Amino acid sequence: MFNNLTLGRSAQHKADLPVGVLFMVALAIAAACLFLTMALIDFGPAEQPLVTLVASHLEQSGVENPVTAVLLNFRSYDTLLEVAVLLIVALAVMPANSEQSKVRFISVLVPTERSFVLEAFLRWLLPAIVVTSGYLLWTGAALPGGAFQAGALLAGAGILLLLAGHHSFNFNASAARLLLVVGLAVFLLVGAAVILSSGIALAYPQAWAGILILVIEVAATLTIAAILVLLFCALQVEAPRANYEGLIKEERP
Amino acid sequence: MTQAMLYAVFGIVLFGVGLFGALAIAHVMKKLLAINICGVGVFMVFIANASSGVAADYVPHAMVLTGIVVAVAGTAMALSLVVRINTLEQQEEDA
Amino acid sequence: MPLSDVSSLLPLLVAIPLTGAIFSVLINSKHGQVLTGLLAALSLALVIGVILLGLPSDGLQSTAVFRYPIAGWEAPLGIALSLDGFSALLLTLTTFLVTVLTFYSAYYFSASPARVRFWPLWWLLVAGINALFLSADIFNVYVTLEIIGLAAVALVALSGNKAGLTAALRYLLVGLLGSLCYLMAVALLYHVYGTLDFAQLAAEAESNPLSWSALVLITVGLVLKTALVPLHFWLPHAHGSAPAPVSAILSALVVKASFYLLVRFWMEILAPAVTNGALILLGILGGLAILWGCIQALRATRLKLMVAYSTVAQIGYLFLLFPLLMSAEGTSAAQLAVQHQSALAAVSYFIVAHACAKAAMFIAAGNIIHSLGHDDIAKLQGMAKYMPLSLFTFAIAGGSLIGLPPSAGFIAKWLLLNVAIDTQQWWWVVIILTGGLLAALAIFRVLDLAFIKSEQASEQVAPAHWRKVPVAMPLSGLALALCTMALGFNADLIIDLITIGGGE
Repeated sequence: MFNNLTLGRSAQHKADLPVGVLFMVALAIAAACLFLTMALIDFGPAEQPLVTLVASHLEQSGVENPVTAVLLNFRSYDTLLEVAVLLIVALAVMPANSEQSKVRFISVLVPTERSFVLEAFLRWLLPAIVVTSGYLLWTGAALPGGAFQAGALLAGAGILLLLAGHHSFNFNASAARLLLVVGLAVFLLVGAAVILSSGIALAYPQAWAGILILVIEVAATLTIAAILVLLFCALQVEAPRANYEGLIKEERP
Repeated sequence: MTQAMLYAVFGIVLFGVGLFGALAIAHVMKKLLAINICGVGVFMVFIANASSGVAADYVPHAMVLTGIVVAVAGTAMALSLVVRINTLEQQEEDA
Repeated sequence: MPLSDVSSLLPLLVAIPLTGAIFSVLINSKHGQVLTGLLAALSLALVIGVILLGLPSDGLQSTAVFRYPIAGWEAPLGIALSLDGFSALLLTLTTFLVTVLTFYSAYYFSASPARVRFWPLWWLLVAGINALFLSADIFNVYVTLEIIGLAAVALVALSGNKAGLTAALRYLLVGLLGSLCYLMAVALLYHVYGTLDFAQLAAEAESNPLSWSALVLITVGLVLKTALVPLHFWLPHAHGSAPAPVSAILSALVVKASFYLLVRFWMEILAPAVTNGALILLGILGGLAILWGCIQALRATRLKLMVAYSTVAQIGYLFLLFPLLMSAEGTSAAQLAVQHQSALAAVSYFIVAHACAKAAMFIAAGNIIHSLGHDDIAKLQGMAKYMPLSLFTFAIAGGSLIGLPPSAGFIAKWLLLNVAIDTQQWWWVVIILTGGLLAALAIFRVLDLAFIKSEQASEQVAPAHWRKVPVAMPLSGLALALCTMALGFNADLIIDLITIGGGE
């Protein structure tokens, strides 16, 4: 089932499993899902004790949005590890040549093809995206929003910048590497620093909870934005040459 | 059957469909899509169960947000591997 | 609420490797990364040492479980770390192996451009493993599983060739699917019991259809990650094509991490939902894994692939734990608890013995590849002359895997046989002994070639592409191999540790 993985371009597309096996697999999964459905319906809806617990502790969490309270206070450890997951992926897809660490993070290029409409549009759009991202980050304390939404939006700005062709990013630069880890580093630092006041890692003093969460989120936003742009850069590939040539031939008969 | 229950059941169906796709299809990109469908099914079960009580439960919301980020991370990593393998294959063909 | 005892040190076991990862991203010069690595390993060793000293020494009488509520919120609202004898043993094992392998990697990657990414990923993997062994929250465990899975895949992909990348991709897809099965079970358990905490779930769990479904989903997901036959297909290539220190940690610790979770779920958290039939089924799969893994190891043509298949077999031994947990009719609860303790002690011993031996073997195989540029078993003839230390390491570690006295592998099998005989399940005795015999055949096939000079060997000159390895590389392997011997003489240490807080 996992022994023959076929990739897109291979001409000899390996056949999927034999029909008999497929049928058996489908039957087994259908039976399992049916059992699960029956069990779930039989159990019915449940009142969770955590609903009241979250509501009653919301005031102590430093934020008004219960989801943010869970993510960055009650279960902040999960979020810390989640930032570590993002760092792993960033490292895994990072371009391998480390000799470039002397090259600057953002370098200005002369684009091969200029699109004046896109450039003019970006002049308006980019500042607006940055401001909106800041707003999303700030509003996360009370309404849906927060570091991931803000980071994703900011990454969008970075990708647009990249597509305009005037800039290129080098993620092996020291500044870029700092951006990649700043989220995790600030999270760890805050988590460790609060031990001085409360004696327990990640237990914010109540009066400071709101501001500490904001600090963590700002750092996380930067890291998330950087990592998402890095992912875009790493996955950006030229169209398969064969098709590309075919396209050109078709265009110029 | 309540509305929440209906969502949960469809979550399980999506999980099953994704699972079947991940096992049955040989093509990597489709396999990856199937795994993502599978994940969406799991998230739907989480959310549907969270709303089955009188008041909404926020803990599963937070868990699903974490889960989505992890799923994005996994998908990105798989795609980057596919791209690298593809590049190597192309080089082999050229050579 | 300041914590003054051992508990207050628990977060350090996750924080130190994470800090190590951050510093090895920021300071990516060669010496900076190695220094960061050694410092992190050293401080981990220090912390685990203090924790071990702080554990109660009265063994069986104590049922202490150390808990640390992160962020100050008690479960079910927050996440807790917890430590008992079983997890303390695995954390100690992790720290020990990571220290040795960090030392080894400093040499292994010294000339490789992969070094820059290896070190941060290495420390993130270690953070994930430690976090998993400490976690007491089923959703938190999902995140740690993903850290381990993704970091392991990224490390396998460091080899950069097509075979390695394909193995990594397959490993990743399997891992993602396994995690999703696990996550579905988390959704079900949370819906039914309203908590994610290990202890609270264990207190409330009962035998109902949703618990069964959750147990099945968890088992399928984790068995996929542990690579039990018939879901082992991804392991040999992933472990066989990774860089040597990565193969070592994958075989020694990463597959054990998901096995550890399985034990937690089957013995504690969902124990009421477990049936004897299910226990026997896992045992049968374990038995099949032993035989299949050994046969494939015999047929392997590459050394690392052979060692990887031997891991498949050794995982089979671990799953013999499950049938040995079965309660016969008329056993009292106290007798059953003792039976569970001794079965768990035997398997823990097995985990430690296998981890040390397998890490030593992968290091030896890595040295051989480093020197010769290949690991074709047929071409190893007479090579003992050129790399005596590596092949000696291979021989000692192999002895432990076969179960020859006085190695740790012998004690582990002896303990396992004892429990099998006590519970009158003699058929496992046959399988354990056959497995040992087959493993011996596979290992002696290599040693025979390498050590015994045949007629043709006299005309053989030093192999082409010969590169001398720094002597520290074979020495770190030898240290691990000698540990399997030392553990054979000090069995009590481990057995005492495992009984702390292991109350049912």
